[in-house]
Amino acid sequence: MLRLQNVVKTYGGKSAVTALAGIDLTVTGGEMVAIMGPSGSGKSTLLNLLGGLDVPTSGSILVAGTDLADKGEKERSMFRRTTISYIFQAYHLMPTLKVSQNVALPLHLAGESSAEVSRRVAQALKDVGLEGRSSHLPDELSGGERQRVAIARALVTGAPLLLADEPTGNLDTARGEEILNLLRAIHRERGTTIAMVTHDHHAASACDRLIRLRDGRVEGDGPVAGGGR
Amino acid sequence: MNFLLRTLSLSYVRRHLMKTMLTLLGVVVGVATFSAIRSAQGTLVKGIRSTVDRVAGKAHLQITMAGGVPEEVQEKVRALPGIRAISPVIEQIVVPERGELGSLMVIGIDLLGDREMREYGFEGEDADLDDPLLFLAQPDSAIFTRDFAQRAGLKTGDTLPVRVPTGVRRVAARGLLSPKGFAEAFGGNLMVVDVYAAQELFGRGRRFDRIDVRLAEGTTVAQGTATLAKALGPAYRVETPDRRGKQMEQTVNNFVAGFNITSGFALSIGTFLIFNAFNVAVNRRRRDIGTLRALGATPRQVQSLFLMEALVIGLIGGAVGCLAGGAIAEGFLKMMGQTTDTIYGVTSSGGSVRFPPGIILESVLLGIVASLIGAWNPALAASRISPTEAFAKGAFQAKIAANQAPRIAAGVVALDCAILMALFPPYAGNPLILSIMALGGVGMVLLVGPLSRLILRLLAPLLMGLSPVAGRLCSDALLGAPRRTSGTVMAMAFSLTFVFGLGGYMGSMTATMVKWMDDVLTSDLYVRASANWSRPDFLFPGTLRQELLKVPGVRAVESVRTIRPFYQGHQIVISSFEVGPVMKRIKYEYFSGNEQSIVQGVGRQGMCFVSENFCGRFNLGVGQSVELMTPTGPVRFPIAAVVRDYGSDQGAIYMDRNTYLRHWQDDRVDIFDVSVAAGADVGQVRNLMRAKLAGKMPALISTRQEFIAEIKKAIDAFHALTRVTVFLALVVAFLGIVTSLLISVAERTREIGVLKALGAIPSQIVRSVVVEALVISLVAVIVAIPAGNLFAAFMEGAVARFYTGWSMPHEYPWEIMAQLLVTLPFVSTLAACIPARQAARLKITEAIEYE
Amino acid sequence: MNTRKIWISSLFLAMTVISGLMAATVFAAPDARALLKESENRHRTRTQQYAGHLTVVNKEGKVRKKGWKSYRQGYAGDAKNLVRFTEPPEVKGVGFLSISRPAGQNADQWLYLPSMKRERRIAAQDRDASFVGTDFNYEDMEEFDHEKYKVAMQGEQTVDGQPCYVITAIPLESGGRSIYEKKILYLRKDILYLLREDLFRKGDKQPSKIFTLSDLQNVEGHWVAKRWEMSDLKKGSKTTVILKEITFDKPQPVGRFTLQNLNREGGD
Repeated sequence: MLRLQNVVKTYGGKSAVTALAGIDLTVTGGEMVAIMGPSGSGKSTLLNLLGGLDVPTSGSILVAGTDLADKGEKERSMFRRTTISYIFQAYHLMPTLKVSQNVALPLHLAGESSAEVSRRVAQALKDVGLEGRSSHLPDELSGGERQRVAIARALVTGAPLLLADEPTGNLDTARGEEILNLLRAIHRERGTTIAMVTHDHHAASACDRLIRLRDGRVEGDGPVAGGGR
Repeated sequence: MNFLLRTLSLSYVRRHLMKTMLTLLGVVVGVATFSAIRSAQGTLVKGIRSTVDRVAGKAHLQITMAGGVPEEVQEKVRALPGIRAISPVIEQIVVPERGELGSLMVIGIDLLGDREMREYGFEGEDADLDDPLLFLAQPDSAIFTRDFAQRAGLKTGDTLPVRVPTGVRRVAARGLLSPKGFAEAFGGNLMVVDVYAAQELFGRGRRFDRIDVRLAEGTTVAQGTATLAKALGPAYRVETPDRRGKQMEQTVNNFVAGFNITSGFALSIGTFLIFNAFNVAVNRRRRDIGTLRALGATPRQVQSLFLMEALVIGLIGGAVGCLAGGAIAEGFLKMMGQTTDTIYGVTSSGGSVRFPPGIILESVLLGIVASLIGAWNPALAASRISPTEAFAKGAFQAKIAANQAPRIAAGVVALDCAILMALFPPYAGNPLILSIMALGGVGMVLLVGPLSRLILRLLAPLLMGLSPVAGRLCSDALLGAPRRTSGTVMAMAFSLTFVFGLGGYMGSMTATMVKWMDDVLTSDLYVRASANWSRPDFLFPGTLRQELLKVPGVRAVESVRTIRPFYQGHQIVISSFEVGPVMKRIKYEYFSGNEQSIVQGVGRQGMCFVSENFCGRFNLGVGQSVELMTPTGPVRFPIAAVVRDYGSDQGAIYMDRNTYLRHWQDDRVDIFDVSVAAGADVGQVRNLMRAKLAGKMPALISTRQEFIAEIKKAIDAFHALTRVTVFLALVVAFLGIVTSLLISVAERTREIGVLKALGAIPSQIVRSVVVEALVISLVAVIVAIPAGNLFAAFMEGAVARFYTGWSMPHEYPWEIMAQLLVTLPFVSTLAACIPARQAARLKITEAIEYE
Repeated sequence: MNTRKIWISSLFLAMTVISGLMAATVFAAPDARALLKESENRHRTRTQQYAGHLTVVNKEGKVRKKGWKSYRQGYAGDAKNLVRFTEPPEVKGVGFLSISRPAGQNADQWLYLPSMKRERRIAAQDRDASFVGTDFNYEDMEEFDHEKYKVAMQGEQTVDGQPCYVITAIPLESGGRSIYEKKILYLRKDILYLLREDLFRKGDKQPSKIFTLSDLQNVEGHWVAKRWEMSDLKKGSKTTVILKEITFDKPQPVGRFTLQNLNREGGD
């Protein structure tokens, strides 16, 4: 599913910062991977590259067989629509849109018919247990509920790769646990490949495999002890 | 896309209703100005055309001559082959004493012969003419339209007091016209009188304004024109009514052309408001944009979303602008009508403004285009926002490219090109003016941003010195959001440039003219019969000069006669007076020739002298001669001198009265210049003259100061509409500040919240917002002063030269400058009111939670 | 049809010209032109003057009255006629001068308006215009030139109890402008006096105006109709003139029929 070869990412001009200093990594389809590391280790950069939100300075990134490194903005956008979905620590819901509208957003961007949209939105909301909340605004929901809306939005396209950036970072333990369970369930039932950046060991322990980053390099890579609970 | 527009955009609008409305208002003002000017112009022109057409009736041709058509031409024309009927006409606008009835168009026709000409019978069904003999026998007889009579409450036999040149006259309604065809000319505000009575009433002597000609069947217009031209000679114009109408239309269109530029200006400022608003919206919504992009939106989809929003704003703004335009068009029409009437002598019927679909479509399109142009750049910027940047916390502001050098260089080059082109025109005419304006505009757009930042940076320490808290807050706000700041400054600077430029131009023109009048108008008293400058309502008989000379205290009287014939397609002025005595008191500025050559050549040898713009426009100077069509045939007048003169924007020729009398055989007089004997009291002489003329002739007797003031008033009237548009430009600038500040406050909600949490009191916050407004206007003024100077110089130079051939020394618009420096702080503070109050009211908890 | 030409006065003058005409029953097979010529011969006078009282009644029944004095010198082709209005006061002094011109040309006509202190010429194009608001138009006011008409006998008819010849007169193209297509004249048999005219405008099947003369009296040896009536059938209005103070062959002052005299305030 993911194959990174000698990926380097540097920022800025004169006082260049090297975020990633040559990463080699392979993630097979159906894995659930946690990426951990201290601040500035390059976790978020890596996730952005995986999601095609950014391109590496050098090296190649194969996602589902497509090399994102040499693709333009538009191709990467189109690719994201079908292949990659995101969840964020801050949810990034449109505050002015209702829950169902938020979930429907990626489908509308892809130009799906409205009948199809409503069918899939309903299903996705059911999958995350928010059937009754579809006409609420994000402001009216709790943090956990908001993140579930974000997950529904990620599920709705049926993308095989889900990238999660600190999905439990804004949540208390109980809510965080709920979200992790939901992600595991998705992983299990749909075979979705999940890559999750996290600070939280508890969250990481929900994954099958743990990749540790430090100073833009892979410091460690291996199965999580007791992982996949 | 539809979904996004319906959900995302609409909800954004709902949340930021006030800002959206203000943005919209920018478009509305621009479009309203444009549509109002266009429709007023259209109505004006249409009114002129319809009146010309309706009055022309069945006439195929109309014979006119500068100064009027002598009566005997009638018989001459009647005898020609191919002529079925002819009818003399005198037209004049008068105002009833009851002003609310509106101006009346007086048409003097020969009721006996007119049945062949108008699509109208003055007997029988069409008109109820009580007693034709009585009508003819009594000089106060008039026929009104039924509609007007009803409005005025007139019955047959009633009288209506009307202001005519000789004073107030009571005219008796002796007939009524049914409203159709002819009777609908001039919006039905029609008063038909006998043409010979009209001669008397309006001092036309034994002349008519024109003779309408109906050709016999089988005679073509071309044949008829040829026959008439051959029989009458070149001093007469033989035209179809259509062509005559078109010429008037052209005059009006030329006059209005300037206002199209004005409305364009208003709209471009509106465009800047949109640019500004969208810039800010893009900033505010960057996270949303990032999310959309992460969810798979292509850059193009993001761009389209913003452009669609702009489209909707343009559409709504255009539509509302049209409505608003309709509301103000009536006023514009009135102003334009008055000006064309006083300056050009072209009158249109009152009527209400028509809003044809074409103008509505144009206006809405214009709103859309302006809006799209304004939104284009921000939309593009939005599409280029990468999701990673969008999610980066805090630091985000649409970045100013690190290297501003190329932009500044391009701006300087564009501006320099504009200046060079104005100084050394590579080509001429409208294309030149447009290219210079475009280049100058581009240069300004490119330079205002960097320049305003530079000024702000220089001002920042000063501000902080003045008020540590508010000053710092405001300079941070301004420098921290360079795009917003420069957008607002640009909109304001453009408005102010416009104000300075046009104001300077108007000021220079007035000042130049006043100076010229000081040199040229040196008599003590001016006796004239007509208040209208270009279309004399009344002319004095030449013999009146002797009468005036007999008035005690009068030392000298000179007779000025001015006609406005066409010369090579331009309506020039030919003016004649007693050159010998006049030259003794007039100081001309000579371009070539001198006083001696005028006294000798013009005074004694029948030569002429011309104005500088005549010389420039027709490329004729001393040593050459100008061939003029006189009633006695074409005559060549050698040019003795070229002088600075502002008698006509198309060119003026001056000659001795004797020369004029000899060739034009027209001894009537427009104005008598009266010099008072040493020691005599001017006021007393005036009273004596008034007493002498009272009841016999209309006479407006002005002292020199009054006369100059009256001309100045006419010039001011000419500028009235410009003033309005300048005012609108200021309104748009005001809107710009309000939007910008509202946005600024919204942007800094969190910051303001933090400040309050740290102990800032509301008054400090308010002060910072007010200071921000003041600084924005100050920077805009600093930028606009040089730009406005350039613009004024351009108007006075290239533009004035192109349209009038006049050269005008630049007068700095100190007055406007002073006015602005006084009013702008008030206006800016006012503009800051709402945003400042909004800022002061912010609840700390909400503010900090904000996003 | 007879092609010889005769003179007949204009309507305005016809009645005076024809007055005193005697019966033309001597002609067994009456010839139209001969009859008209005989009529002219019988009623010819050197000068004539009278005071006319004019009444115009319009369709709505509104009545306007005016008075004038009329002076004529010469006859038919060389007739000169001056009319001066005497009342009401508002129109007093308005004058009308008509001077006949040779065959093929319309008469010269001028109207004088005291308020303007000047005359105005009536152009040929204005012949159809109403004469000072009456049912006469300017053509009706001018000298009738027989050379301008083709005449033909139509038959006989009784008018006002008097047997009349009915004669059609059609304007000739070469005769100058006329607003009429056809006139039908009714000539009283016994005195060859014109009693009625039916006037047809161009393209009309029915007469648009009818002119009748009545109240015939013999004054100073000349027959004269003291009442004229012009009815405009289209407008529904009617103009009546009553003639008083009629005198014939009284010498007219030199210069009476000139523009100078016309323009003299109150000049008779």
